[in-house]
Amino acid sequence: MNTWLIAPFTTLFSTGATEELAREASFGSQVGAVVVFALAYLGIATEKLDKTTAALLGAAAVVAFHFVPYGFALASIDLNVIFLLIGMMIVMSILSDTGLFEWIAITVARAANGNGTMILLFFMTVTAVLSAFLDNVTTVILIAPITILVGQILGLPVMVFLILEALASNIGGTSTLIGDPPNVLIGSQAGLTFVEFIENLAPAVLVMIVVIFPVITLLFRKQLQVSEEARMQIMRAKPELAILDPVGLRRSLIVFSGILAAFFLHHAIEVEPGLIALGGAVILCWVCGKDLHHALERVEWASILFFVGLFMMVGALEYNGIFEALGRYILLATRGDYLMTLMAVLWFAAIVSAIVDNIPLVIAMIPLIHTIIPVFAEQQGLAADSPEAHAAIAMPLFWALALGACLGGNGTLVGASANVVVTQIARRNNYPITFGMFTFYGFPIMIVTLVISTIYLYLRYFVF
Amino acid sequence: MDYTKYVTDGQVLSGCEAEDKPSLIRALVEAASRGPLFAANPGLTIEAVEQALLAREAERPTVLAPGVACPHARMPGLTGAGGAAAILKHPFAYGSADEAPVKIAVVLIVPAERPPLALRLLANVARLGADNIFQQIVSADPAAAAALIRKHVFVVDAPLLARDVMRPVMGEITTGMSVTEVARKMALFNLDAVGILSEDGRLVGEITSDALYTSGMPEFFSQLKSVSFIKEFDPFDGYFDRVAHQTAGEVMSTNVARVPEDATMLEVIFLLSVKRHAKVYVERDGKLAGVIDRARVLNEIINP
Repeated sequence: MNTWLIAPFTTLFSTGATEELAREASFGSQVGAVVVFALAYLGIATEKLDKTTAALLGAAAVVAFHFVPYGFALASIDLNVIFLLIGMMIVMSILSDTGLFEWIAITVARAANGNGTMILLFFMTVTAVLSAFLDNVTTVILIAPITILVGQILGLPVMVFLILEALASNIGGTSTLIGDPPNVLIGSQAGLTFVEFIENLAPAVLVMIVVIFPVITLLFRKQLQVSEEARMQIMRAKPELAILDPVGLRRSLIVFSGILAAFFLHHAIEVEPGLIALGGAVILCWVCGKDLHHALERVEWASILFFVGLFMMVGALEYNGIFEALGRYILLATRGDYLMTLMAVLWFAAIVSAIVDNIPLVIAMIPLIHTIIPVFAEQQGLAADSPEAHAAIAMPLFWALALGACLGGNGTLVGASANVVVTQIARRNNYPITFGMFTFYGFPIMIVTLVISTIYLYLRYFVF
Repeated sequence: MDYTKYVTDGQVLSGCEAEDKPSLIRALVEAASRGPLFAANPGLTIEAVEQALLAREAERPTVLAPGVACPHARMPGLTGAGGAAAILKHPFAYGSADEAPVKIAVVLIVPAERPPLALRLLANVARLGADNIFQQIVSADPAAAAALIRKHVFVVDAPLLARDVMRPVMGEITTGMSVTEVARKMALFNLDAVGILSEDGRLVGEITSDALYTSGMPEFFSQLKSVSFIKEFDPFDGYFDRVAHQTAGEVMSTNVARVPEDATMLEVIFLLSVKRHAKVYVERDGKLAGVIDRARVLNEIINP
């Protein structure tokens, strides 16, 4: 196996030991790693198995059957991603305890003057903006309950609101490194900075918000009529009472601003986002007088272990040279054309993400993209590991992957975790959102956002 | 542990003439003052004990079993525990809810620093008082009854059991009752949890007010940090409409903490505190015999 194949996959925390562990993989080992990954993926996609169980069983299997050395599998776990997820989960749990999100929602509803159409537009926009700086699932968990409350007060179609908020969270989350788990993965494993994400993805997302959100709102305006009595109930609400801990809120916002500032500067200060998030979370606990042990209990450890299992399985695929082979197929299919490859990455990632969880897809796609970068770099006369190749070849491919994986999640109910979570919240509150209903709203929006992405990628990286 | 050394035969009055609570308590304290407990505690005065007993009675009449009262006082810094007992010549109403006349009264004077001791002595009185044979002896042979009191009340050699602290079941509820009716009974008897009985009297489930609220209120409320910012929203008729029309059998939980009568307090407190049950149901011969709730146990332990 060539060492250049291994090098991009090693994590920020891995050592040279990873390369030492590389060996010529046997055919049996290659087939075994693929079969285990496929079975785990199938279990996750069909929901026959709990996704964390499937990922951990797969990880255990690839190590137990010696498809990958244990050391290599462990080195494949991207601790930067793990730290980032844990840190942001703690930060969000502390921020939400202050009542900030209830305050935001009710303030927005009042700012909309209790008008149903404006409330939908504002709620979608707020959800998209929050999702840019929080995880999508966290955002919808925070925003859905207050949406139901406002919807019940105003007699608005709660299910429509919840579906559109899930879609908005997936769109908004696309714009930053921390907005959506696929971006966290891409940012960490492709060495892309927080600022680069915003510079390259936020413009596309902004266009989507400006174009799509008002159109959606207008389409639903007939369902968004509000009685005067209900409107006055919202107008007489007192948002300031939603803040339960003003001192804690001020402290939390100061620390959170510091965390965001550090994200913006992480490349300059040479501190990885994972460390910033985890360090920020610990500081936040200390500043707000929160018990760290209690805060850690609110981390979704099942999700963290899901990532760990996936990293180990993908490490096995990588060790066995699977991505190198797949890369050759892709180049064959696209005839080595960079634009076509870019669009293939965008649409393939979107379509698959609409059908199954986008996280395993992205974890598998990242090393795949790494394998094809040198080929295009060579086409353009650039050294594969040069900054020029990174900017001209690697980055657009990863932006295409991010756009595809994040926006593709809008296609169906199972396409993104935020969709599933919103549906579960809705169902528990007697709003049964069906697969068909979600797809009815989500699929057209996915297509429109992908068309915008296609045009954006073409104009940004091939015309200007 | 044997506390009979603090109680002599002379302190069990087999024919007490008292006809009201204050004079009964006065007579019992004076009897107790003649015993070894007062001798062992020179600072203990009749007035102080009498005041403590009356104060305790003012909170709640201390009738532990039919016809048996047990005024008790916790005195700080006491060495040992003792008291006195009386079998009344003229039973009188003691102020309890059932208004049944009291014919046996036992005064307990215990160290304030040892609440569990008081609890055990109280349990002894309750157990003896509930014994039908003892009740017959009281009527037939007061002197023999006095001896039994001395022998069984002031000895702490058995662990406290569920039957010693259980309360009778109030507001019997069966599976076929509507939730509306259940809620009414819970409010009437000020209960947070009720056991649900089958038609043949077996305990089959439990309904707690907590569970009723959870069933009625939409789940999204549990995700909100507060609702005080909304001032004019009153959707509760709609929320609880569905639950109100269900039967007790449909909404009850079958996860019930049930113990036999001879379960120890350790078992009971474990179920209440660690397993977080609102109530422990005490069974006798497969039927519900009594209930123990958190407040009951806490009160008995902290404020016996």
